[in-house]
Amino acid sequence: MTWDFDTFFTYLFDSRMAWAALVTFCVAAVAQLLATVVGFVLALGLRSRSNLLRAPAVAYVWFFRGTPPLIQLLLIYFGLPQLGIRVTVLEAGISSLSLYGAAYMAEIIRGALASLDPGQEEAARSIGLSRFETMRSILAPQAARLVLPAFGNEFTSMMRTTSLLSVISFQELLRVTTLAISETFRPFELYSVAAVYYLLMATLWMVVQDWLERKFGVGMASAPVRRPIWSDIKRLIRFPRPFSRKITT
Amino acid sequence: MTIAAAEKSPILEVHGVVKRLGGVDILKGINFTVAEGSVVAIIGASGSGKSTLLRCLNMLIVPDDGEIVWKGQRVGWVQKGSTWVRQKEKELLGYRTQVGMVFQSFNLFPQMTALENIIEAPMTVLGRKRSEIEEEAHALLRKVRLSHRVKAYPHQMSGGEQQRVAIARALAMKPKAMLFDEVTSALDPELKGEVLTVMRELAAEGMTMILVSHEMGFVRHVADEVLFMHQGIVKERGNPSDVLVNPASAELQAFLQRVTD
Ligand SMILES: Nc1ncnc2c1ncn2[C@@H]1O[C@H](COP(=O)(O)OP(=O)(O)OP(=O)(O)O)[C@@H](O)[C@H]1O
Ligand SMILES: [Mg+2]
Repeated sequence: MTWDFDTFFTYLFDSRMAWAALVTFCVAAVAQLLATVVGFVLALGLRSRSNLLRAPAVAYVWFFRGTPPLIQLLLIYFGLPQLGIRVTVLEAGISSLSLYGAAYMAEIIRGALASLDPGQEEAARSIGLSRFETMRSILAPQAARLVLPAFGNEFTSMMRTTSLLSVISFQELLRVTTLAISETFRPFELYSVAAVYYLLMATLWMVVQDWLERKFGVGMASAPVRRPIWSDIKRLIRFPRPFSRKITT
Repeated sequence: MTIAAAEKSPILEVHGVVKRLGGVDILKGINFTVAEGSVVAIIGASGSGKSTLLRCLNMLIVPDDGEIVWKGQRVGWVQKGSTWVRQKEKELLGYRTQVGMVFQSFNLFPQMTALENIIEAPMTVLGRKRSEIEEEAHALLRKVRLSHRVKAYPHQMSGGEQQRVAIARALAMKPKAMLFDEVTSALDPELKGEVLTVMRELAAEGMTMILVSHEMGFVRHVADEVLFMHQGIVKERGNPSDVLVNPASAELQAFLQRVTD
């Protein structure tokens, strides 16, 4: 058997594969969003001066960073029912990915908050902002800009980690690919199709991240250091550049 | 101004304020009063506790001992029955808006334009409408001579411009007193003047001001009283034309020699 382009292209444009890729992307996006929210709360815990608040946050990060995400998933999907808590495949998948991702986001967000100029908080409080308002209006937006590159790493990693959900028969990209292989016995072509879809997702995210970095980079002297990704792509495929982007700060 | 100011009752009284940081007594019992509309300058060597004192004055940090009395009311404490209990951070916000503060390093919010920096607190703290407060913000920017910088971001402005926006930001809360912590120290000599001019005008309008400054010329002309701090206490105080010309202590003599060199 040799590489068969027909199979490759048939499955590349197969609606089941495309749908599975979309599902995978959405699951990763929702999980990453939840991971960020939980991670933010954990980061506040990690920063707290009260042991009562800090200890649980530290324990959480210790557990979820120290154990394999696959075991976390199996604990939730097969373990919880043993305690009488029934979870669907989707619930188990999203919750385990979120909980796992949150441990990493917590450390990232804590680091970003710690690296902010303490003068910012002082200035905000001096004009009467409460601690909550200071966080919401001043510190969080500044931290968001710092968090973005690491957030991007986490999200692309999250998209790849979704493949673990194939273990509990969740119909994500890898699982659907495996099923297709069992029909065609063409692993090389089909795993290649899956790889292309993962790459597409990662590329889509790069464009979004680029846009986000510009949006949150407002007011930062060092914001537009990165060229937009599409300018690289354009150069790669030798498009003439019809207009030059005005870089706004 | 001195005579008129002295006749008024004090707007701010500081009684035996002590602050300990990292196990060291940074402030060891500070006493002074500030009459409404007067200008008090605080001078002293680096590390003598000037910034710590200013932070205590608007409760960014809470003194360990002593009291601060604002318009006859003890700050940071409320009387419940016969006992005094500390106020929570939330209850201090009202006081803090009445005492504006300007910092050596400007501390403008980098993600906001000059205008947005100014309207942030009136909008979030006082809940005022953007359209309504924007007009006042424009007036404040005119006052600090920055009408042309409304939409500039901090990193696009010179240090002198940033510091004047910072003053406007503090004034937007309509404070009754202003604290200035070495606000020209980070500026190039040619930019100091524009900030000092704004401060001089504020003093002339009758704003109560407490400022830490090493601009001896400015202090001599604008301040009603000078406090010389040394190792956490007020070592000398008085009229600038007395204290700065005839320092009594060896420490002040040495200090003046260093800053005028
Ligand atoms: N959070 C802190 N923990 C421990 N020590 C501190 C802290 N903040 C300030 N200090 C110490 O308190 C002393 C006084 O500091 P402060 O900033 O009030 O001095 P200053 O008179 O404003 O000096 P400068 O002219 O350099 O601004 C310094 O020795 C400083 O190291
Ligand atoms: Mg200082």
